[in-house]
Amino acid sequence: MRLMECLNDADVLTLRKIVDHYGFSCSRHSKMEMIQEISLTFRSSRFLGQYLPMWTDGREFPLLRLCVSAVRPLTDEEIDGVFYGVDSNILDSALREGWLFSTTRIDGRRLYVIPDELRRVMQERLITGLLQCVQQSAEGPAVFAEEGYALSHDLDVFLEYVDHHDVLLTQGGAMYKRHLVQVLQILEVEEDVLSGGWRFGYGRRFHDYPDRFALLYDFAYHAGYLEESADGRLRTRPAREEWISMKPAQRQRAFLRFYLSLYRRPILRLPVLTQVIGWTPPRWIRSDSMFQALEPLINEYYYDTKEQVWNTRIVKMLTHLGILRTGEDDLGRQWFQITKLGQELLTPDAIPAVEPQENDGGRVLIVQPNFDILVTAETPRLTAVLAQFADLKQSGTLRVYGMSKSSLERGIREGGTISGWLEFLTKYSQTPVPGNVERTLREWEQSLQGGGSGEEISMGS
Amino acid sequence: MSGFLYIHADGTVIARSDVSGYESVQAILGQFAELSQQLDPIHVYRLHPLSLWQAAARGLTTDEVLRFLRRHAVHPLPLSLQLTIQKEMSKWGQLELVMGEDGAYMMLHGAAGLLEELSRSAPLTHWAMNSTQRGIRFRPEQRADVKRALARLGYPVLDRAGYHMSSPLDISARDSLRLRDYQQEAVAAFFADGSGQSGIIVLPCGAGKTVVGIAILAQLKRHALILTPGEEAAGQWKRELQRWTEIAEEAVSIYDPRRRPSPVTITTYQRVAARSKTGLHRNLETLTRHPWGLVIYDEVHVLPAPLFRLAAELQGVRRLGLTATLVREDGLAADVFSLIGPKLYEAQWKPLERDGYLAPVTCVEIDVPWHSQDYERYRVAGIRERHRVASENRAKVAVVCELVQRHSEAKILIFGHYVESLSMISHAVGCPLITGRTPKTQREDLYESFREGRVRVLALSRVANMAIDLPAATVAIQVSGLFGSRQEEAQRLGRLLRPAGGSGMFYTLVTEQSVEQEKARHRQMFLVEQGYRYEKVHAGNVSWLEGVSIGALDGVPE
Repeated sequence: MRLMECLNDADVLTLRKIVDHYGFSCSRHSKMEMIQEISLTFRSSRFLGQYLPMWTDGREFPLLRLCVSAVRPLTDEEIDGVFYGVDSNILDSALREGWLFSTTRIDGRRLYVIPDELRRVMQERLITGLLQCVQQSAEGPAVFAEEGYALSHDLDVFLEYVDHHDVLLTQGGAMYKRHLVQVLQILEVEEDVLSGGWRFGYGRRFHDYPDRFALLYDFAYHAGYLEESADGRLRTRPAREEWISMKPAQRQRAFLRFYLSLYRRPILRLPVLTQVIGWTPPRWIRSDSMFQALEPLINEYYYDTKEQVWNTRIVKMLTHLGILRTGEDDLGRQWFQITKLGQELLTPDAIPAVEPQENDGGRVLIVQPNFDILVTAETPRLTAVLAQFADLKQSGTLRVYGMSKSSLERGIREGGTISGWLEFLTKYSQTPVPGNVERTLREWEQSLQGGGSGEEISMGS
Repeated sequence: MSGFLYIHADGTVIARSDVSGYESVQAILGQFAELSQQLDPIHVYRLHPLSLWQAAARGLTTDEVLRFLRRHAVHPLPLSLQLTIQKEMSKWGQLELVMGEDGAYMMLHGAAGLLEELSRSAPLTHWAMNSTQRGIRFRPEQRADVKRALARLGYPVLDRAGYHMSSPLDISARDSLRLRDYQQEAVAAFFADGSGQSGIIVLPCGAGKTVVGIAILAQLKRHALILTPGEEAAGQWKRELQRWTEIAEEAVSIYDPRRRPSPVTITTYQRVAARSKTGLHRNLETLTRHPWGLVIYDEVHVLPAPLFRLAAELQGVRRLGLTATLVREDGLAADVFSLIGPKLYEAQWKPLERDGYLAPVTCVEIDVPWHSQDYERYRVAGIRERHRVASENRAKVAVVCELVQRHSEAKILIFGHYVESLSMISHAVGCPLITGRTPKTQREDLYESFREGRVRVLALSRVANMAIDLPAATVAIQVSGLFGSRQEEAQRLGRLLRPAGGSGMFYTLVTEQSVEQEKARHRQMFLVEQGYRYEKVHAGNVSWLEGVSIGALDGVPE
């Protein structure tokens, strides 16, 4: 709510307390005059320069949490909870100081809001104060990790893998190591299989899989894209269609939401911590200095120390989510910087990051005379068909599939035909299907299908 | 995002060649990545330790490479690749090989930790004379062994051990020797450090590698040993030297074991590798004793592994490798790098083709049905025999005749692996045949006649595969081949790429429903990945070859 709305909703008594508190000289009997006086004064930078420190100093961390939560109205219990042990009388003082207002607009209950304008300036002051002892730099390390939309791409790759492989599960419902190793190899971001140690608390399969893949798997499972079926096999479910139709930024946001809901159980202040990172300017930030600044908000978790929670569960996972880029300097110190995508995901009003173009119906394939097929845009619908007739040779930023006699054999076994496949290629290829490829396919059609009289199936739909 | 490079963690870089700005990007990308495939609109590059060392050797820094990649990449750079780039590029310059004061030893300098680690590795421990804080000492004759061992351990070494004193040579380029732009650049790359450095120059077949070698020699003016893959190539070097330079006639000779080497001596790899009855490499010993100032390795990619020893003994001499490709079938590219030197210059053939220096070539694979009798033979033949029977399928003869008729004015070379079927073809076509048994003089006469146009069609067995000069051949017909070797294909195509106006055709005859088909597919892959146009037709359709403009072949410009 804006300040003006809050003031209009407030009763005379509330306004009078504010006027008294600051000793404004306006009439204490006219609501109109008091509203004008307050709204005018609260906008002046001189006033804010003088009183803002009084609002925030000594209350930094609870206020930060309040600012993050206060995008929606709060109950008095919530507010008291945030200030528990800091200020037992916070409601009275906040109302008197005029940065918190009560309202009954929403479902008639008494709720509290911080006016948007004031929340913004408080936020700025809190962040500036926080960053004062945080080391920043315009230049980052030469080498740094940045994953962009890789998590989403990798989920596509994984779902396709499950579609085309018979993935057996152990008694405990985890994939056997053979499959897991294969899957981890084709993903864009490398991860090793686990090698023991304490693991619990960060997800359903966190115990079985390495951090990034565990998040990816749990996400897919939780969303209903996967099932661990009773016969001991991993399969995809029809619900995955929903994933296929989502836009790239939407997918990343879904991942972020899932991460926040999953990791906030062990890491109590995760939403504030993530939001604070979202509010930092897009400069390189030294990770351990930020850790020190935020330490009061971080809790340890059984086997994880506070540092480990910060480094492994927050900074590293936010990197996997495409929100941060991270790297080490020459002295081995960790730095991070928020990405365009991160700004967009964490602050809804930020400039939208440029999304990778999605072009489902268009001609996005390039068929090469060496039997390779390049996929130039993200097109989960097409790649599902590609995976049937060709083998993934290169995953990652630009997928490359290769056709071979055996891959086509598989395609036919799975119910396709060479003619249908050629039609598909012709339909989605930017360049004509090379003559040598077409002829070789026709040759194979003879030997694989015995004259190509197989039933036509429609593809790419 | 305005990038057009798709960069993968394993070092594969896929580029769209149809976007504006690609040309300028290509020029820089080529300095630290190897172009491995060009199928417009997609070019594929690979970054690997060797290509990164080359880049560092040329003075590129990690930062420059990373910044360049980031600027042009579509997606964020994979971390593991960034780390590889950092690690490999930083290796260049970490180790240095210098000559001791009196030339009695060489010293390997480097960071103490690294030296200690290296001094513990097997081959180096063996060779080290002693090792101190300042470095590890080796005997000078171990120079090449040490460099090779280090390269295999993943460490390139900066060879600052310098060159032996060598004898001056009275030679100068004739005014008629006009170098093309890229040839000038290649020569300049060799002399980039002022006095001439060792390394490899990569130019496509037919782009004038010999001329570049000659220009370098004429500028260096030192005694030179030139090693070629065959006698014809040796003869060609001699002719070209006399044609393009002012040099005393007796100063150039093809090596004769009975005489002392002349100031410019040309010989073949085979001859150097030959042993006497008692097992001694006499030629090798004679040749390594001479005070050469330059050794030229022609077609260095075919330098036989046993001759690495020669290269090793000639470490005190400037080395120039000339080649069309760094691909080695035996995967010993790192050894060549350590023995000869880094890649100094490379020109791609596409731009040269565009500028009119090379003729465009179309590859056509013709599927030939079985001659009924041969098919009977094939069916009962053992596995080993099958390739031969398929190669000799008599139905191919008629197809060759038809092709020769179609290209009624073009100069045509017919290649084959099996002499019997070639002789059948040469009879049917009515053209001379050169085999390993053809006397040398007759062979040269025939080449000469072909060059001058008195003979229009020539059939060649395997003997003609390497480094001979057959100008103005515009059509090649391969009736059989070993298919396995990619070098062989590149060589054969190279024959056609000599610019003589118009465009070239490369036909390969493949017997239907035989082992040849599968083999032919491997070759097809390699050729298309090199960027050649590739068509497949059935023998029944040769008379109306689709999409192939025959007119262009008969001298009518396209």
